[in-house]
Amino acid sequence: MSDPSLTPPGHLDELLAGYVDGSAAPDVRARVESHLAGCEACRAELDLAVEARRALAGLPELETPDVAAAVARELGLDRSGDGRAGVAPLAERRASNRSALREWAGRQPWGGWAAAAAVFAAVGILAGSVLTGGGGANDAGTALAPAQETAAPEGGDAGPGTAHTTASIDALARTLAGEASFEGDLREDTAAPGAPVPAPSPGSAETAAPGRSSLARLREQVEACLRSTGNAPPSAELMYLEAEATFDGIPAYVGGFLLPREEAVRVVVVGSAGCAPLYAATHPR
Amino acid sequence: MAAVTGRPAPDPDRALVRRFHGGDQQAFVELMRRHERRVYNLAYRMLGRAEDARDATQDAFLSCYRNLARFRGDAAFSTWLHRIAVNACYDLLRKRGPTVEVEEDVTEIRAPAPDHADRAAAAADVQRGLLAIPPEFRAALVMYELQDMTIEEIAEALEVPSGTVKSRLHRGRIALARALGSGRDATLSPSPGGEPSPPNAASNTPNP
Repeated sequence: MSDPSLTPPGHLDELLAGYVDGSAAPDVRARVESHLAGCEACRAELDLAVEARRALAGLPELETPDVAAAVARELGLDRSGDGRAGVAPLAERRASNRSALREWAGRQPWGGWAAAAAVFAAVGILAGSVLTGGGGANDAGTALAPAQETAAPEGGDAGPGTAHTTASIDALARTLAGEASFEGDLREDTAAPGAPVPAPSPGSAETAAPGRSSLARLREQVEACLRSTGNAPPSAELMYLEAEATFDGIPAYVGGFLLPREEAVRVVVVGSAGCAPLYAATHPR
Repeated sequence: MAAVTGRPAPDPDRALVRRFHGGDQQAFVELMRRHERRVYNLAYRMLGRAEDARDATQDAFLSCYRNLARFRGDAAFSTWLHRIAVNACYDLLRKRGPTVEVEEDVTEIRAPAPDHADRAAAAADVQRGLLAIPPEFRAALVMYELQDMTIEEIAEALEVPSGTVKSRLHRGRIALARALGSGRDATLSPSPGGEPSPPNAASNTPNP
């Protein structure tokens, strides 16, 4: 230990790392070598490190399944039509964010995603009917941004990935409002005891925080975005959520809030890239 | 090994991110295509199973898509994507638990050599060794030795100081060699740097 700069263990690790892979500067190399001359433990470590590098160098690069195509399909960005070659659809995945989101939705008081999807399938055929009665601060069917009608591909499919239009969102609002009434008096639970209370900290959400799943962060981000865009007060319960829908072909999040004061349900649609408001529909319970 | 990306003068990723911010959704598809091989290979080495690697890659891309509108280009896109990918791997590791059977029949990019079976078995051994060391060490090793990332890029991706990356590389190499069954160091006293921290997901995560 003739060189004091080599004494802090962590620092020594760093120097040895650069020595082994050749990235250390010449003067550092010289210092490491003078240390090695008198340190058997470090010499043994160096041998191990060299061996590990040799082992890693023998690892091949692997052929990659066409994940990009699967994700593009999932996000509705798939232009080329098909292209399912060899990649399992995301729907079949064991541990997708989506199924976990659905799992989360399943814990919601209203009954969750599966029920929502089923209900939505039932009302899909009603798409196009006119929504009546605003009941609240916002008029029903208020277009927050121009939305043109486009033909939804293969109508009638339910659940995540649904291709929404203004008509289907109106119908969804009506259905959720009926469902909310059916559940009994929800006014008492507007604090939503069963719902996880999001504590979004906008700035820090991007980078990983220890111990929290990316799913939880995602859910919070989505909910915060829907809530602020849809003017849903904190007391409004999020009773419905679709994380991977499209609206007039635009990838979108769809959230349904139970508004306690208005006694109404508001369905909010925002673009999933950037939280841009796309549409909102409100229906009285 | 491969994945050397050369040094393209203007960063195509930057242009694609700009296009995406301008509303061109197809730019995201292009970004995925450009990076899927690297992300998948990273995920495979982190997880050791093709199915998990595909899941993690998909999770990473979905997360990337959701956050790309807020990506301002402080880091290179690829570095940022690696951060997302590594976190997707950590999430999956947490869900899955520590043990896994390593597959030997993964498809390599190169044509099979005559000694293919031996090489595949050796590669599976190394992969098992990788899975036996703490994920923090594994991430640093894979990024540096296999993904050809610089220390600075890795530091940014893992959100730790570059000194920590170097230290993890060194400790990781030693841990890997030991996991690969180098018996001859068994009598040695613990390293000057002390033993690596336990493979605890919480310890890996970033500074505040």
